[in-house]
Parts: sequence; structure tokens; C-alpha cells
Amino acid sequence: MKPHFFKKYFAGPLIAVLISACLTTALLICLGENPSILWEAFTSTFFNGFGLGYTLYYTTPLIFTGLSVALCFHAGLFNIGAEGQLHLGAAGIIALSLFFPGLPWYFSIPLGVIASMLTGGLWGLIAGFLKAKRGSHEVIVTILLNFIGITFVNYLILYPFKNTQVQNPETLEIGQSYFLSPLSDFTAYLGSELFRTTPVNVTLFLSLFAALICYLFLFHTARGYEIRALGQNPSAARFNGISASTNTLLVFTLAGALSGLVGINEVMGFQHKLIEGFSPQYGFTGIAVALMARNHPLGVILAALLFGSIHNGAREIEFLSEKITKEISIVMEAILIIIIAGQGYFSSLVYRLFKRDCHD
Amino acid sequence: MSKYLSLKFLFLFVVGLFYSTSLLAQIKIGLALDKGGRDDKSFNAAAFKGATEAQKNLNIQLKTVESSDDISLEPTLRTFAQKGYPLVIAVGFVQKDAVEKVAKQFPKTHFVLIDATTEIPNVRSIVFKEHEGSFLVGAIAAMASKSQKIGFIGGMDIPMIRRFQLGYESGVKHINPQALVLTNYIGSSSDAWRNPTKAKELALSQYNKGVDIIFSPSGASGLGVFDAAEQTQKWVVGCDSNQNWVKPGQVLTSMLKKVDVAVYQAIELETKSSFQGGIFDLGLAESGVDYSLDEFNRSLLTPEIEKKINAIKINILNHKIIVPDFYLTMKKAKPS
Repeated sequence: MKPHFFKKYFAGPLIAVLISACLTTALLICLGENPSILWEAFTSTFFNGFGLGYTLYYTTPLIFTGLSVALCFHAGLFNIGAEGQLHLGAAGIIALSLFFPGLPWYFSIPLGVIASMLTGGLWGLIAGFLKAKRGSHEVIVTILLNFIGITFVNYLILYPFKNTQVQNPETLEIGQSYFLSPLSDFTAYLGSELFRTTPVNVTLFLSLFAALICYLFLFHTARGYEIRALGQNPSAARFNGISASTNTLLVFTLAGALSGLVGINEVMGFQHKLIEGFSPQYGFTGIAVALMARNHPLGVILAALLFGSIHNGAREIEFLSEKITKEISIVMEAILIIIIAGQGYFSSLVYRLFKRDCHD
Repeated sequence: MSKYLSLKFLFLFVVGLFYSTSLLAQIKIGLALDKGGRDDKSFNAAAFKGATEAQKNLNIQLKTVESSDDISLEPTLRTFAQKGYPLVIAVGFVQKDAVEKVAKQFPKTHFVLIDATTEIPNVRSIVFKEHEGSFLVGAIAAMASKSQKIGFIGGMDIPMIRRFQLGYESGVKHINPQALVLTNYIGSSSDAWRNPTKAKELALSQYNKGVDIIFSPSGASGLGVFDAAEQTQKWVVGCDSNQNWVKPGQVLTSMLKKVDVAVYQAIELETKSSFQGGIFDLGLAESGVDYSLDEFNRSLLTPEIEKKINAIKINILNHKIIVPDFYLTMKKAKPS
């Protein structure tokens, strides 16, 4: 590993994590709580099978949405629409599985993956189309599409697909052949109790694979080069014959498809049905994940792991403390995002303080 | 040296023994509330009240966790079980699935499920005959109303709230078959439990149509109806907890659903290590539901009303009045 590689990708995020941890500690002390619970909660999310299982379960969707946002960032586009896209993706799986409940597993599972990517991708394509052909601003369009998408999926959950046997707002259960194995099945087969009773499932491997594919696509294909060129200098890209509209359409479709994959983790991997409000804002946390990862697809994995662990540790804090509720995690995430987003300003501040080069 | 070491071990042993006995005596109780939160002044507040009372009187260590989203219910219950809490109380029908999944995985942990039923042996399911309590407050509303137009604002449109509605309506019609009951629902998603703004809008429009009493079983949303009642100087009927104190003078009475008593009893049984699973259906006969009368609404409920309502209560108890149950009518409507 070259030293500048570390500086470019890791130094900033690491400093941000440290500052955020320090500020949160200070906050806890101000509130009269023992700050050691922060460390206790953090370790519990990694160093026992139960905590690690949940951390990885939360990491999986964040990898997908993080990749979705990062991909758009590379083309100079801001995808706030991951939340809506992932709702549509989940609805795609539900629609498929309720119309064809009896498919054998070697059809149902690939088709489920395709359905989620298709519906999520189509939702992304709408934003891409409006941006590329009509010049609408993608931030506005994706935010508004979120409202429409989430409301539409809630309508599907509450009316056409509703399970009328229960009082909860949720859909009917999907067919057995759509179920994905939890990782605890594998560890139990090996005689270990790791991940026992946690919902982490094989979708985790799919998300890692997706990150690898994104990396290869962006940095080792001609199309990926075009997208990055478009993001870094649109006019130069256009003079070199790179079509802005084609690439915008493509990037938004791919981003939507990646977000749509979240549905696999939730529907096929764990709940086996679609519940109203199934996503605790994975789409928006995805933006923070992409920022933290500096838009590098492999960095997204680490950033998602960090945010997954914060999300999981929040519950642990609630159990450890009498005074603090899990909303402390939102404070911590917010501090992280502010520091990451303001990195340019902070690093120049540090530069002026120490007269040393803190840039990459 | 070895003597010193053994002394040290003895000391540690004794300290450990003291520590463990003091911990053993205190039973850890987990309370998992749903979206409404402990301050909804209604359903969750009742459960929280029961648990805090138990904490005062019994030797227990209480841990309350609120869920801000439906997806965190299951991990919360699982963490309680994982941490070795002997009794976990899950409040709200929304937790039914989560309790079923977790109770199967932790058969030695005892669970209490409020407002939903399940057959798993280590779960104590507690449900209430909401229609009986609603019948009483419906009858009171019809007796007190001047316009004979009476309102109902439900939270989420689900069979359980329809059960409240049917009981309430038949209570009104029992007193005055010509009385008009206006019905609105706040929504069909779980946000309906905490949308006081929309509840207030609906209440104001009902009051404008001439309604003078509104009953609103809608969790934390109900507080919006209380606001509307204060604004228009009309009456409201509280729900689940005794809400007479929330806006004194404006609250005619409250339909009590004694979640607090049920929670307290479950904790008490656990401390006596005589926990029992099974389904407990609490109605008027088991004093699981009732109407409330205290210093805040003493002046609103005249002695005649009180006399009549107690007569109705007795008639329900000896089955002279049969209160229609929405669950049964629902089953009849669907032959499945």
C-alpha cells in the first residue's frame, strides 16, 4: 500500500470518527452519564456473535444504498432517491412472489434479484430521464420521487397485498422457495453458535459482490471512465464525445437497481413479507456512507460497517444507560457527517495551524 | 504469600456472594413499548404506570425501551432475552410477530403480550374486551349529549378499533336509538397512532357539524382531540388510561383499559415465580375495562347518569345486555 493511498482514503474518515467519538463523549459527560458505555456499546457490536450478526445485518442494506449514492457522485450527480428506490425494489419482490408463489428455488431466487433491480432501476430511470432529457435538477426530482415511491409502496402494503388476518400493516408472506438462508444456518452446520438468532443472511455476500462489481465497472471499464470523466469535467467530457444524457440515464438506472437490492435483505432474507416502514432510512444513511467512503466502492463496505455498528450500538446504549436513549446515535452520525462534509475547510484550518500539508 | 492469596480469594468470594445474592433478589423486568411511547398519556402510558408501580412496591429492576420504528421491535425483545431478563413485557399488538419469533427461540424466558394472542406456552397473552368498556362510555355520552350527535375518531383502521367503534355505537343506540354517531379514522398506516394534528382537524370538523362529545381510541393522536375540545369548549371521552386530568372540565369520562393492572399482576406473579402462560381475556367481569369517575369529572357526571350506568353495568355482567363484538361479526361475515 502506497503511503499516499492511506492519506487519501483513510486519514480523513479516521480523524472524523475520532473527533465524533470525542464530541459524543463530551456530550455524555455533560449529561452526567458514564462515557465508558460508548466504548462498551461499540465493542458489543463486534465482539460477540449476537452483536456482530445484527451489525452485519444492518451493514448489508447500507452497502447497497452507499454504492447507489457513490455511483451517482462519480457522475457528478446527487442521488437522494435511494429511499424511494429501495421501497420500489422491495415491492417488486413482493409482487413477483405473490403472483408466482410456487416457483422452484433456482428460478425464484434469481428472478427475485432481477425483479428488485428492475423495479428499483425503473424508479431511478425516471429521475435520470428528467435530468437528462428535461434538465430538471436531480436533487429535487429524487426527493419528490421518494415521497411518491414510499406512498405508493405503502398503498400496495395496505390495500392490494395486505394480510387481512393480522392487525399490523404488512403484506402476505412470500413463498417458501423465496427464503434466503440466514448465516446462522451455516455456522450451525459447522457446529458453531456464531450469529445464532440474528437475521444476517446470504445477501451480505451479494452486497460484497456488488461492491466489487461497482469497483471494476468504475475503474476498469471504458463506460466507467466515461462516467468519471463526466463527473469531473462535464464540458471536457462532452468535447471528447462522451454523451451526458446516455450516461446520466445509465447511472441513475444502475443506482436505482443497487438500492432496489435492499429489498432482498429485508424481504427474502429476513421478514419474508413487506412491513410498512421496513426501512429505518437506509436510503438517507447511504448518503453519509458514500461521503464517508469518499465514493470509493470498496470504501463503502467499511463505511457501511461503521454506520451499521452505530445503528446496532444505539440499541445497546439504550440498555446500558438510564438517561440516554438510542437517539444519541443520530447525534453521533450527524457530527460525523458535518466533519466529513466540511473536510476541505477543516483540513485547511489544520494546514494553517501547523503549516503542513494535510491534503492528499 | 499463599496465605495472602487464599485470604484474597476468600474476600473476593464473600464479596461475590453478597453481590450475587443482592442481584438475585432483584428480578430484572424488561418493558418494550410500541411507537406511542411512554408519554402517549393513553395505552403505553398505562403499561408504563403499571410497571413503575411494580418497581416501587416489588423488588424488581425495571428497564423500559421505546421503539421509534416497527423494525426495531424484534431486536429489542431479542436483546432482552439474550441479556437474561426472566420476564419481558411487549406492549401493543404490533409486537405479536416479534414475540412469537423470539419466544420460540428463548423458551425459558417469560413474555407478556398485551393486546394480541398467541399459543406459545411461555407467553402470557392479555387481551381486553374493549367493546364492553366502549359500550359504557357510549351510553354515558348519549345521556350527557345535548345535541344527540356523537363523534368517534379511530386511530388506525384495524379490526381492534372497529371493535371499540361497534361497542361505542351500540352503547349510544341503547340509550337513544335516534342519536347520530359520526365516525372518522385518522389513517390506515401505523403513523395514525401519533398524528395529533390530523386528529385535531377531524375533531374540529366533527364539532363544527354539531357533535358535542368525541371518543377517540387513537393512541398518542388522541391528544389532538383533547386540544380541539378545549378550543371549542366541548366534551371528549378519554381512552385506555384515565385521562380525566388531561383537560379537566372538558373530559366527560375515560374508557379504562386496565393495562396497568395487568402489567402489575404479571410482574407480581413473576416475583412469586408463579408465572402462567396462556390467554387472558379481560372484560367487565374481570374488571379489565371500566369507565372512570374521579374529582376531575365528578361535576360532569350527574348522579342520575351514574345510577343508570351502574345498572347497565350489572345488566352486562348478568348477560341481560349483549354487547356486539366486532371480532365475532367479522368472523360471521367471512366464512373462512
